[in-house]
Amino acid sequence: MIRKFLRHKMAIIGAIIIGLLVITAIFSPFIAPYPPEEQDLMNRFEPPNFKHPLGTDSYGRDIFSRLVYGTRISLYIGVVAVFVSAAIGITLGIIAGYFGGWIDSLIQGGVDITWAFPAVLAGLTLSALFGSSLTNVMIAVALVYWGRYSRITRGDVLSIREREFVKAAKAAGAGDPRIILKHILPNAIPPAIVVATLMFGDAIAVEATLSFLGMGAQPPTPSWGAMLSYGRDYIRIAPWLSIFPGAAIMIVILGFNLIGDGLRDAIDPKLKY
Amino acid sequence: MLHIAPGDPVVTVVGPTAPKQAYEAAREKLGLDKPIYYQYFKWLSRAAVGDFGRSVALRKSVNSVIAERLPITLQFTSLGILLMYLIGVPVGILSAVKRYSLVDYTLMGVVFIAVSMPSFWLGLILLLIFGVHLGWVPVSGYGTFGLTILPALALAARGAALSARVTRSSMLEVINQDYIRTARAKGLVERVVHYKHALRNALIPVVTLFGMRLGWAVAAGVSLEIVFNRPGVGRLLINSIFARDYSVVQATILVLSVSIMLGNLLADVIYTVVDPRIRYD
Amino acid sequence: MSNRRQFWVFGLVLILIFTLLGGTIGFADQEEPKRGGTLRVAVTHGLESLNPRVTGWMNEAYNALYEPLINRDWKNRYKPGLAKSWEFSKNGRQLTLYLREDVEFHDGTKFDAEVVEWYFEEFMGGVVQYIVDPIENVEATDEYTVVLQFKRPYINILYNLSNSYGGLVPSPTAVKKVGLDEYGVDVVVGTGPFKLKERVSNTKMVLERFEKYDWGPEWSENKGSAYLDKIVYEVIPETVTRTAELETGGVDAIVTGVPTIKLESFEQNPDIKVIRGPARQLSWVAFNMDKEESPIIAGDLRIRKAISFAIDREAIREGVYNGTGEINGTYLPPMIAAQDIPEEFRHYYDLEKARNLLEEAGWVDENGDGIREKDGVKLSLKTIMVKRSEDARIGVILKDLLKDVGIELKLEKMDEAALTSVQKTGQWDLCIEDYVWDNADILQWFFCSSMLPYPNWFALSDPKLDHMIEEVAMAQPNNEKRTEKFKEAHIYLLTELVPAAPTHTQVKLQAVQKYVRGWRYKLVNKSMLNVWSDK
Repeated sequence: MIRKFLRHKMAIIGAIIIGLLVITAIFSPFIAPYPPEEQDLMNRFEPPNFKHPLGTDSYGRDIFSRLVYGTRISLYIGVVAVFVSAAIGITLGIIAGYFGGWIDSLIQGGVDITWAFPAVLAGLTLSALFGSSLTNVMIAVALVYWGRYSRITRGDVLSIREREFVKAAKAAGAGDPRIILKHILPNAIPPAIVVATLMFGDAIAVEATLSFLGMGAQPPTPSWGAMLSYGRDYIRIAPWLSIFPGAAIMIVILGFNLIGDGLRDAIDPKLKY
Repeated sequence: MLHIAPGDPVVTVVGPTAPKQAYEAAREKLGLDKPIYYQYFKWLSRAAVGDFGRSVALRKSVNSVIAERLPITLQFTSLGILLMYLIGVPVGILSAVKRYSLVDYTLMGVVFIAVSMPSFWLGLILLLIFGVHLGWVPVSGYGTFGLTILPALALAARGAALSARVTRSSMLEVINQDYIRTARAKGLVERVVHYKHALRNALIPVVTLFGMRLGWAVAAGVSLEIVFNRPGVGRLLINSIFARDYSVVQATILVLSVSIMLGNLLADVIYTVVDPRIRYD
Repeated sequence: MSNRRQFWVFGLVLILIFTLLGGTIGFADQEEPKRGGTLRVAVTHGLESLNPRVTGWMNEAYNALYEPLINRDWKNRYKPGLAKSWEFSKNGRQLTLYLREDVEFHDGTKFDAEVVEWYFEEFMGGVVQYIVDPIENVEATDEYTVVLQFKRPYINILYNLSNSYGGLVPSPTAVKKVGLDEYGVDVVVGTGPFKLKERVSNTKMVLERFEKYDWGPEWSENKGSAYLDKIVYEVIPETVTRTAELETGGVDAIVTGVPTIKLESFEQNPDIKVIRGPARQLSWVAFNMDKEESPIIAGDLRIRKAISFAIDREAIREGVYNGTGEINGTYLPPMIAAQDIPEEFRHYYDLEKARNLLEEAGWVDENGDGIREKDGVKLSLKTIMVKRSEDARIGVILKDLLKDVGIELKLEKMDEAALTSVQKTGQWDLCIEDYVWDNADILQWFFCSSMLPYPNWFALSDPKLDHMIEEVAMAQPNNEKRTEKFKEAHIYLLTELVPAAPTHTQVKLQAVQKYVRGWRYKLVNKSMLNVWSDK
């Protein structure tokens, strides 16, 4: 499986991108040449140069440093949103697949409703309800994307349930929780990882869109989406304010998509997410 | 429903300086003095018969406001969705036919980038290049084709890329199947026939993903309406959230959700038409 | 002989040519305005309604549709409007308005004393209630004369009836037909040179020429009907789109939201003309004066002064306004006479003074984290502002500036609706805000206890100030004395109360295409009557 993944050259590129991103997030203070909120009104709107590799913004803040710190926010959003939705989705998927019956129908109904519902719209609804915040972004992603996990997990559970070793365990008198934890969950995890990787990119895109609309992170938080939203007022005179955050968002989503594709081919080529 | 965020619709009506009596009177008139569940069910029962109430900020019936804005949104989103397939499917076919060639790799590279690009960012860049620097199309407004093409393109990019990918992989799957292999042995004419056959089968997953594309297009449309200054439903929604114009927020979210659901239903229907196997199942 | 005749003929031709040339040059100089054409105008916000009693946010469309009872000329002096003349009683408690007799509404109904009586008695209210509050009685004494009686001397009514918020008279017939609050959404009927043709809620508005109009005000060169066929107002909230539209010729003018950052490039652009108005938008950092809600700020004058003296106003002028506008150490924009107070009372940037005030008040950095403490409490302040605004940008710089004196700001950016409601709950310490007003009575509006809880969201309650403004300054029978008394109150506010730290006054900026002619900046009541398009 690992060899299959490594054969996938694009996936390796993706892994390198994300690896660098994680390192950047962890070592932000050492990588960033300036503190992210340090102002220098004498050097506003500096185009990229040796002192400021990606230029400065309207307060003379270093764009590169802000992007570096922004990796923390993007990853944080991605990690929380993906884990919460995965936890909800996998649990409900196992319950639906294992128990069947009306519980299954109920959960499947929930999946169908949320399946095509855009997370951005969910995020806007939450902002209208509770005001704008990053928490809303994460809740919105979790609310919409749990169905993705739930659907594949349920399918897996249905096929695993009929397999000999599960039947044997059942015959041996193992209880439901034990069967689920020991036999079903380990088999349901790998496909969920594929979905999670692809979902990561989506979560970051949702954050960027909501922050762009003014409903996510609020400046001066160096969230990429908020930076882009702020920078678009200056796109004519200082395009680097919006080009670089946009590019950063794109590269990260690209990285996760590449890994996700590689993982899908390695784990389950038939997986149609 | 929407009463936890700070901000007060009554203030929108009477202004922040209104005396207490005027404020209370307006509050009563708007029904905001009643408990929230009561307001919500009242709204729901009215919405069920197509009456969405009045917009506090625009001072008009919500129905008329939405009727004003919806065509503007439909215009560019429908063109965008059309472009998703008009661009995506041919690209996918080309890639599949020329599989593992330079053309295939280049196209798939572009596809990967397009999938990863936030649509509002692409919109901004398109606007700068074609609207401002080259001056080929007007920068904002709505109505003519020239005004619709840029937002439609920005909207279509990601969907087109995803469609291209799906078309390519499902074409490859079908091409590698036996009946195609035999067809290939029989000569060129049949080969074309069978490529057509492959395409037909390959399009099934493309159609089934229509529902998801639509949902995504609706969301992307909101941010593109902001970028391209289109007074459609998306901008209405954003403005209404800021203005605490709850009846409009509720109605627009409902309208958008219902249209996404209808789109999914439509996809299901088309699916059964396109794929004859479904009927035998 | 023939030579001589040729000479004469030649001379005559020369003279003819010169006269013709001179004629054309003279003609070009005078610029005979062209009739016709459409003007497309970009604005940042939509108007929720064109009803003067409903909305607090106005733009020039109001003055194209309506006319004020009292007008102002280019130099902002009071001039006849719908009232051709007026007369105050000696004690300032009675005003007689003599109305024009030749005015008609867009719907063909007549403008007369009955309309004005209805206007004051029934129409005025809502957001403009404050204008009619001091009025005791209104009476039409004949067909074109109205007498107003006041509860106290009310010299400032001239200001109120000539500014964009008051004095704009709609047609009673139209208002009664749709109702007081519904009026202004789809139905708008005034006496101005343009009438409403179409309004797409909050996004677009089309005005067309009112052909019958021939009662142009004294200050206007054009007294007849407007030159333009149509004016189209388009709401373009996005800065990039708005400016790009002007540069690519998509719109002919930007009347609100010319970004200061684009000023240089607009001024270098041979196709665009930038119009600078006077400095009139005052920004300040408001202090919460409620001792329960904000004990640190409300409890100690020295803290408030320290914050004000720690503000490097030049940094804000540069960093937020890109070097436009003027720094301001008072509570009024410089165009108001009562702003002109001696230097010693104004606030300025003095870090030493700020630090000393804080030390004196007992705030010292005990644990070396760069932020001052007192009795274990950190000097950390909740600062609210509207997001994506110039105020929000002031906030970012202010946070940096106050760090230098050991004060920490926690910035909270929100939309306008949320800001108003947080201001009312009182759960804030500092609030970055701005206002546009050109009369000293704004001090009463924000700071007198009669205005609690709103518009006096500062929660300032000081009997001495109330007396100085309401009993003394506002009751003066003439403008010179009124200014003197307002100056005294202004100085008292800046030295003894300090409910805000003023920062800046921003100039009004507009940008139009060069082919837009006759466009001049006017503080209020610009009616678009003289604007024409030479396209």
